[in-house]
Amino acid sequence: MVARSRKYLIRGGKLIDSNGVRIAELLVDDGKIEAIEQRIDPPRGCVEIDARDLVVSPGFVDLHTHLRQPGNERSETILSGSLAGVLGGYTALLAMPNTSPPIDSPEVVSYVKELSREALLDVYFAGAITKGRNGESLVEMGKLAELGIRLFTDDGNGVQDAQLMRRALEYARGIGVTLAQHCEDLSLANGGAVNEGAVSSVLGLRGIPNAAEDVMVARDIELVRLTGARMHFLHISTSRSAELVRWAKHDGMPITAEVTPHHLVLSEKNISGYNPIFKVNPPLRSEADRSALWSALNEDVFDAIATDHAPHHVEAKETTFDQAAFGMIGLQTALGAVLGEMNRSLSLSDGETLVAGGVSDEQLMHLVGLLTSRPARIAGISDVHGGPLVEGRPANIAIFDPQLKWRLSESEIVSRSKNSPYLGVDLTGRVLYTIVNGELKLREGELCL
Amino acid sequence: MSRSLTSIADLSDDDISQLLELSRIFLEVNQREIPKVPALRGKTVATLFFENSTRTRLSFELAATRLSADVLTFTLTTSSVSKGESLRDTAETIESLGADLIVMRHFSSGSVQLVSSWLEIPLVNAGDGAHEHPTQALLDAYAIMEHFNTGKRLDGISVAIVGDVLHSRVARSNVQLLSRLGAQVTLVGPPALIPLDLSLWPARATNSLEDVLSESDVIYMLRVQSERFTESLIPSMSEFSRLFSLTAERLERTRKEAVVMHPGPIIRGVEIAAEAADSSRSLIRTQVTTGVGVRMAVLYWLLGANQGRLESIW
Repeated sequence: MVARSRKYLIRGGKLIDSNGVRIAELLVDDGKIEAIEQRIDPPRGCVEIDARDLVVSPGFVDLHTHLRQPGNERSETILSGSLAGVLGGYTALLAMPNTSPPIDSPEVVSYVKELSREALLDVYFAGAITKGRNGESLVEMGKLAELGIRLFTDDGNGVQDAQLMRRALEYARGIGVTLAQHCEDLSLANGGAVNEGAVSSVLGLRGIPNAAEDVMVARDIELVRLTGARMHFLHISTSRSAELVRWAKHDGMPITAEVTPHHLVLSEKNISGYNPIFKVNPPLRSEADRSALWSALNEDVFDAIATDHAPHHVEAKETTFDQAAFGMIGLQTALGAVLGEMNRSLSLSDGETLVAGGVSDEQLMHLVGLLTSRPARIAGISDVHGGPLVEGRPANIAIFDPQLKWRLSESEIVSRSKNSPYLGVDLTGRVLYTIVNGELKLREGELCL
Repeated sequence: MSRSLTSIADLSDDDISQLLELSRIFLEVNQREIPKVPALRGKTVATLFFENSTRTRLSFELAATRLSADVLTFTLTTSSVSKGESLRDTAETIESLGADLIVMRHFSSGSVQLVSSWLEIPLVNAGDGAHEHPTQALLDAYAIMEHFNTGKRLDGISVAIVGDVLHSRVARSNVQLLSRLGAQVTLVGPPALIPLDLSLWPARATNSLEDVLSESDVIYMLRVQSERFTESLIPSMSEFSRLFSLTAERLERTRKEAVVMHPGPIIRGVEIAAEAADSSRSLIRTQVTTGVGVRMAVLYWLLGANQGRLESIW
């Protein structure tokens, strides 16, 4: 691998990271950021990357990826998911443990870590909170932590039993790891397929009320108050849950939360044609919830934008809405979907003229933080990923055009599954280069294989 | 993909009045000594039912037979689905066999629309989950118009739809169609059996049957679909009956000219008392009879033979 390492000089780009925004040149050498200066003379043998009009940021970190391996390799593999990640600007993914078998023992951890060596980027793994993700008894978190697991979740399920969750939080605090919750009270979700609201009522589909999420967010906030443990909330989708997180943070509690691109961009309105591509858990909510999520995002209630990339092979989706699998892919489109929506709302709020240059540097810096340094901190990988872009750090870098308009076609999807809700939709902002630990993996939008 | 009837929303106002007019013609045919016309001779109508239903399937099959179409009957229980054949493969097989139209019932909302997107031939929705049952609404509208002699509209008619609205495809089709034709629709039932958010429904709702008894022209009773309950939605059938059954005593308190309707099957003593079901003000049997003519109209209309030149039917 080291033999392929080269020198890259990134010229003319706008550097954005947690330190701010500046125009500078950046030299990558031997896996590290060698230099950042106003002007760097190209050393012998270096590859120059013309980044004029482009943003140079730390490589993106996804806190919420389903890679389906082991157990469902028809839908995705660690390798195929890593290709999608590189195309989306990601240099690190946190893979969820709801595989088959689930990631709940040292043996499975060792196995998936071995598999992840073929990935084009750094794959980290979350462990399950309960054995078999059954919600009954605790996983040996200490043993998994020794193997590098920093975050535990039963994602796909929330831990239903409040007492078990309390004990899990206490135990996690003791060994210094973070628990992440998929907030869904299953009794309230009641086997629903879609948001319970105006649309479900007309379509005759069983609904999942906002309360199914809200009650577990509220419960877990109180359990964090009780135990003092760290807690991360996965894919917050409702107005009320965002409000609860805001209050908990206001109280100074050690809580973080993520929101997905699809809950920011899509709503229950997309379901009207019963297209199972739009079936996802938590469900696409009302327009009022969607707008509340944006307000919360802008007011810093959320710490990360995470994809919940959930590949499903065609048969799992080509069926009736109630029987179809939950989930949509999102690694390749996260930036384009979110920036696309930010640009759309700018042009809506400023009806007379489109704002020249689209989103502001301030907005971009905020967005970059949500995609890089902040999720890296939650995943416990800040030493390698998420920036900042400073000399001596590992060279994990994304370079993107924040204004490029594009559409995703099915043939461009490198995931094994094609269940993207954005096919044929206008997206804005596209990643053109991804550098993983000093190696160029994406060049002018093309994978370097 | 040809035109299908999956939802009342598929129909324009013109379509609706054409279908009701065709229904009139075919109901006249059904009065003849030999109630059969060669309108669909050589056509094959397949009925594909993933859910048990004898009444609706027989009504469609009789309609097809009276139009001289050949009928293929597929009844698929959950066991054949569990063999693993996908819905798409099942539907495509029936199309490949040479069916010209599929009448489909399925337990999943949206399933008929989904299948119609895969096939070239038209589909008729004979009930998809809790979504719609458009031919039921057409026959109900026809029966109400005939009874009240309101012409091609239902202006000024107030309809109370009572009972398990949550699980009812009949209610979802009827609310749309009856309100489009000018009727005022009120949904009546306990909160757990009325959808939470009715903001897109052209209907109002109340939790008290007493509220609507004296102001409705049509009391439309629904069966409680307890087989679809996965939880305790109401304390008991007997308590439901106490609050929402159309009893003889409640029938007394309706308007003199008010009629009683029900899509069947009726469960006597639960949502409706025998005195109401069998009273002279019950349209329940008229609905069944009307259904055959309306389904003849729908099949004829979708298979498109000589559309617009009705005299050529016979």
